[in-house]
Amino acid sequence: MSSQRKTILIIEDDTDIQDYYRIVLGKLPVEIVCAGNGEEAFLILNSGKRIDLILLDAIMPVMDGGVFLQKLRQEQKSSIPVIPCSVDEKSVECLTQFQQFDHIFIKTQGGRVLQNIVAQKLGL
Amino acid sequence: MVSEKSGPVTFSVRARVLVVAVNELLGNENAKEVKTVINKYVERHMPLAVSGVALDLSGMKKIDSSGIGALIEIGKLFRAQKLPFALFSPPPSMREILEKVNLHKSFPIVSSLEMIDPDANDTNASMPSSRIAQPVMTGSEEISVLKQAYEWEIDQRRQSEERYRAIFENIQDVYFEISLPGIIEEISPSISLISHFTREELLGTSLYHYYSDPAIRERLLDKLRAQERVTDYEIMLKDKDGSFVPCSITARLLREKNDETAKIVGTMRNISERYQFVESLKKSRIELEQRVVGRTAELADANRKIMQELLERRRAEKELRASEERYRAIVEDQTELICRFLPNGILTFVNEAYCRYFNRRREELIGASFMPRILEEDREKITHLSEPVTADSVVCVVEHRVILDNGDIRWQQWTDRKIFDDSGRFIEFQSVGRDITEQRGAEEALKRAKEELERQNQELKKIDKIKDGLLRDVAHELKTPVAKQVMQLELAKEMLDESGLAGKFGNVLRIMDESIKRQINVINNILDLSRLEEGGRKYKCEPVALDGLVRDVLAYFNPEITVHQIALSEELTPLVIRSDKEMLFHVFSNIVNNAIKYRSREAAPRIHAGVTLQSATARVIIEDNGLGLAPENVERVFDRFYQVSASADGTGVGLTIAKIITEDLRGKIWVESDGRGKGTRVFVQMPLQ
Repeated sequence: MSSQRKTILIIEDDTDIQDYYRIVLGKLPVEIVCAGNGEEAFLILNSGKRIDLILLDAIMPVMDGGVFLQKLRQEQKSSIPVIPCSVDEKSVECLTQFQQFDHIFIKTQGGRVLQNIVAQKLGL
Repeated sequence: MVSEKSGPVTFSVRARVLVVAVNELLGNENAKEVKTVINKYVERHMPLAVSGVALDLSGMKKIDSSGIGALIEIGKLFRAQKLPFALFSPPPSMREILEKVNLHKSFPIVSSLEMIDPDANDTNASMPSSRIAQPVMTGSEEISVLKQAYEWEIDQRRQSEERYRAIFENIQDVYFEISLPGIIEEISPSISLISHFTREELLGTSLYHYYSDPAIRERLLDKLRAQERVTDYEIMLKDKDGSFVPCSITARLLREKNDETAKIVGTMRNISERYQFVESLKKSRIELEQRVVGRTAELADANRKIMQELLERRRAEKELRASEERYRAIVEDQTELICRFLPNGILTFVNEAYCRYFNRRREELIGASFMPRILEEDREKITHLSEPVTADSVVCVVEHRVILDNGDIRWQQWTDRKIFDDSGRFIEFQSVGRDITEQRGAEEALKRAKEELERQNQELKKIDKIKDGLLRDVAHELKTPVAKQVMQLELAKEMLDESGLAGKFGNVLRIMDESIKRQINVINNILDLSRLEEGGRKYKCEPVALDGLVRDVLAYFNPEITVHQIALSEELTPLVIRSDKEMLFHVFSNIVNNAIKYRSREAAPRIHAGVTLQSATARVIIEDNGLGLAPENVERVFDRFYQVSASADGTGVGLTIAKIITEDLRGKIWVESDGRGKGTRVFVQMPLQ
C-alpha cells in the first residue's frame, strides 16, 4: 500500500451501509477505516493515524454526528474536511448549524455521486 | 335685655354695658358699614345711658388692617362719649392678632363684662364707676398700630401665598384659562411636559388648532354651559408633531355679564399612560389568543418596551408665577389629593379632593392621623416619616393601599415633601397624592398576561422540539431501509452487469427502481404534509421573481416533459412578489408534476404556464389538456390522499400540501376543469407583498 494513498474515515452505525461505502469507494485509490459512532471515531483520530477526509452520518447512537462535529472543530481544533451523509437534507441540519458544507451526500443518490464528491474533495 | 340688629352689627345692653357685637369678619369688605351703623346708633341714642361699652368680637373669625383701623375709630368714638371701652372676648386666634399689632395697649381686652363695670350686676349702683384703665390713644400710637396691622396682614398674605405656591409646585397638571371663542389666555409652562408646544407658542392662539376634532370642543362647551363644570372629561388633543395626546380635563365656566368676558378655567392631565395600559393589555391578550410560536422574541421586546415606559417617572414641574387667588383656585379645583401632616401622621391640612376621596368632612380629618386608613401591611412603607429629617431627602414618592369607609381597597401614590421654615427648621410634610388603582390593575393584568404568554410559549417550544425530534427520527427510520434498497439494487445491477445477466433481469431491475423512487416520493410527501399540518413553520419573506420561479420548476421537470413529448407553452410576465421561494417551488412543482402525471394519453399532451398581474395580485396558471376532472371531483382534489384512480402514480397529498402552503402564504389556490378528459386548469393567486 502506497504511503501516498489518502485515508477516509467513515463514521456510520449501519454496517450494511459501511460495506456499501467500502465497495463504492474501494474503486478509488484510497484507504478506508470505519467507526460505528463518534466515540469510536475519536479513538481512531487520537491514535495518531492520518485522516484526510471524514464521511459523517448525522443520526447515530452513542455519539451522533452533531456532537462529533462540534467536538472535532472546537475541542480538537481539527480542520479535516467532512462530508455529511444522511437520508435527507433535513437530517443534516444538526451538522449545518456548526458549519457550511459545499457537498452533502444523500444516501439515495447512488455510488457514482459519492465517488465524484470524494474524488473532488481529495483532489484525485 | 334689649337687642337690636343692624346689618353686620348687633347692639344689646347687658346690665349696664352696651355690647356691640360684630359678626363674622371685620375688614375691607364691611369696615365702613360697621362704622356707619355704630355712628348712627350713637347719634340716635345720645346721650348713651350705659356705664361702659364692650365691642363683642366673639363671633369674629377674620380681620385685616382695615378692620383694625375700624376698631380704633370705634374705640375713639366711644371714648369721645367719655365711656370706658374694651374689646370683649375675641377668639384666641383673633386675640393673638390684636396683641401682635399692640392694640391691647390702647384698648383693654376683657373676657367678662364686670371688668368694664364691676357693678354691672348691681342695678342700684351709681354710674359711672368703671375701674379699668382708659389710656388715651395718641395719633402716633394709632399710626404705629395701623402700621403693624398692615405689616402683619402683608406677612399673612405672603405666608399664605407661599403655602399655596408650594402646593402648586407639586401639582403635575396643566392649568389653563380659555376664552369662550377658544383663545388661550393663560396656560402653565407645564404644558411642555405633556406636549411639544411651549406656553409662549400657545398663548393667544385658538384652541381649535389643537383639537383632533373641533366637534369635541363643542360638546365640552355644551356640557360646561349646562353644568358649569366638568370633571375628568376625556379629550384627544393634537400635538405639534401631529400625534394625538389623550387628556383629562377638569374645568369650570366662569360666567361674566356676557359671553365675551366669560372664560373656562381648569386643569388638564395627560392620560396617555392610562390609554397605553389599556391598549397594550388588549394587544397582549390578542397575541396570547393567537399563541404564535416563534414570535416570543418579538413579543418579549414589545413587552419590555411597555414596562420601560411604565417605569419612567414624570419630570419635576417648573415654577409658575401667579397670584395667591389663582393658586388657591387651582388647588381647590384639583382632583389630586393634597394634605399636610406631622411626622406622627396627624393631618394639619387637607384639600377638597382629599375630603371627597375619603368621604369625610374636613373637621373630621384634621387633627387625626391618616395611619388607620392605610392597609396594615403597607404601613411599613411610610418609614420615611420616622427617619431623621435631613435636607437632602426633601422629596419622597411612596405607593400604598388605603381602605375606604365602604371597605374598598385602593392604591395611592403620594409625593411627600418636607417643609422647612426660613431658619431651616423642619415644620411638617406636604403631600400630593393620586389614586393609581386603575393603573396598578392594568399593570398587574399586563404582568399576568405576559407571564401566561411566556409560559405557553415555553411549553409550545418544548412540544415543538419534541415534535421536531420525533419527525426527524421517523424520517430516518422510514428512509434508511429505502436508502439501503437503493444501494443494494445498485450493487446487484453491477454484479448482474459483470456476469452478463443484466439483460435477463432488465425488467425486474426497472420495476424495483421505479417502486423505490415512488416509495421515496411517498415518504417525502407524507413527511412534508405532517410537518406542514403541525404548523409552526417559519416562512421566509423574500423577493421572489415568479416568472423565473415557474421557469425553474419547468426546467426541473424537463427530463419527464421531454420523455413524454409534452408541448410546453409559456406566457410569463416578469413579476416580483415578497414570499417564500422554496415553499412556492414546492407548490408549483406539485402542480406541474400532476399535469405531467395526468397528461393526455389520446391527444398530443400540452402544458401551458402563465404568470399575470390581476388586480394587484399575482396569478399563476398551469393548464393541461389531460385527464381532467368530473365536476363532483373538482373540490375533492385538495383532500388528503384523494387520487383520480387507485393505480395513479402518486401519493394523493401533492395538492393538499400545495393548498396548505399557499394559504399559509396568504394566497389562494383553486382548480377548474371542463370535465373528464377535458384538461385541468390550476390557479394560484398570491399577494404582491
